[in-house]
Amino acid sequence: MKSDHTKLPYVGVGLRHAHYHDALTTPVDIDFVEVHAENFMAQGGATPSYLQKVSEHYPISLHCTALGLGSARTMPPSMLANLQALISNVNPMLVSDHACYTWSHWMNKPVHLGDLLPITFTESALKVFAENVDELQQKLQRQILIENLSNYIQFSDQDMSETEFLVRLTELSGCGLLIDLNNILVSAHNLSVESQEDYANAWLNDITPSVVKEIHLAGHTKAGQGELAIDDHSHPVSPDCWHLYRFAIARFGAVPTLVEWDNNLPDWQTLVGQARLAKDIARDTLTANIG
Amino acid sequence: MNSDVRQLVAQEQQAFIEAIFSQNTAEDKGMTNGLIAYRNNIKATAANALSIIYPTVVSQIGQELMDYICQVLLFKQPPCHGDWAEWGVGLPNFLKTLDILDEYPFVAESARLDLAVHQVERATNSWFEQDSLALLGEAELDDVFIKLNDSVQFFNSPFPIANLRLIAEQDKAAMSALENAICENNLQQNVLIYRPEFKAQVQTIDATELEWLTLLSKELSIGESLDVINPTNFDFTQWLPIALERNLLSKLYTF
Repeated sequence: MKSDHTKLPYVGVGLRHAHYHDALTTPVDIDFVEVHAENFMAQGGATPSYLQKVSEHYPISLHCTALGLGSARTMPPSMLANLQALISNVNPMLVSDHACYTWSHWMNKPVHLGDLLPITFTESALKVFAENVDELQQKLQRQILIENLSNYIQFSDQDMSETEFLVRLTELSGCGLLIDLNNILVSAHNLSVESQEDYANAWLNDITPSVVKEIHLAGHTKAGQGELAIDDHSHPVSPDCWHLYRFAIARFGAVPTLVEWDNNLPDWQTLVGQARLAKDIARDTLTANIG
Repeated sequence: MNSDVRQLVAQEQQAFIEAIFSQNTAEDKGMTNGLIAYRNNIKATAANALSIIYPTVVSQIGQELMDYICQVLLFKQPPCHGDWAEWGVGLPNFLKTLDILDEYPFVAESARLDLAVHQVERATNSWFEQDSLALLGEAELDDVFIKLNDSVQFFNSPFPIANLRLIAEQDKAAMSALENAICENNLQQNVLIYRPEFKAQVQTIDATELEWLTLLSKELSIGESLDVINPTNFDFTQWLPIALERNLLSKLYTF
């Protein structure tokens, strides 16, 4: 770790295939890298070996995309075993997944849809989610972080807001939250709110600061009014997202922060430059707060 | 927690997935943009996953047809493992059932090889147990067996699939010429897929070596296997060091 966590957040980048070589051969001043856990779950071969080497250069955050912890159908033991093996191999600083489900049945067959399917914010869904998270945390003997999704669809019969659902999930299960600021902005657009900034600030104000353990920053392709915005991580962090990051850091403090960029990838140095910018903004914000 | 609660949520989640993939045209008209976004994303992810596993097939039939086949396969054999890299193992057999590929039977065989390479590259890392070599001096060959590594596959194909894979990305003209030749000639090949370290290698082997490997994989001893195959075509002492160099073997063992 290169940062003093008491003053500045750890700042890292999402490590994707195109940067595998550069990440090992070009030393950079980032505090950690985050990888998608499922990309490294093969029994053998090049990827597990590569991740081992990466773990010798950088602390690793394992970001899962397939646990589907909101699923009423629980994950099979093989998935848990793969995750346990991975955690044992790389000793990650953080382990996270999304507020979604993905295990289910379709056409009378068990299915894992391989996507982040939206949960309904109901008492029933909350109980299922909390039970699954609690069970996983007990088996892994560590805390899991749950990330808010981009909102693409509105369910009519819900018992609570997204933020209430997430906060109550932390209370019931002891999990932490990974707050994706870009997802909040995508949701704000898709919900056609009057002021995206007011929506996003209110969203963050609803979250208990002590449960926030990581922040994600990203950019997405802008959508026109009435069009659905998609959280495609195909751009640099947007100005709106940087603006919201200042607000988030002021509220939550020096929380580990990650720049995600998955499509139309820039070169490694450009990506790392985004992480440097995040650290500069965090420094300015936290210094101003102290002042 | 009351199991009825989990059952209720399960039904809601199942209904949402059915809504995403509803083929009912009338329902499609009322489908929100959100459902369409989920549907498109799942299809795109599935197509990307298949293209990574089956590069030779994509090169042979084109991305557009591959995407269409992917969509059909998604409904017939939906993913269930939680890892897209494990989805699509049914593609080689599925391709055999498609009328559109009736005149191109080598495509399914190329898929078989692509899948073997993919599986070999993800198989458990395994290296030969050197100490077990001592068994060759301590026991009769009839009592010594060879365990092959998990990262080894081999099979016969009625088509020259090793050549097709090799030229798929290198030389379109050569591939076209080879495809034409396939239709007119018997160009069967035996292929061995193995992994010296992390990168899978594809090697053509003769019928005798294929038979030899098949006998070993059926747990016949070295001696029993040598009794079966034609000794004029196979020399165990020459084969063994090459097999070790290729990391084909896990260990020698006796019962």
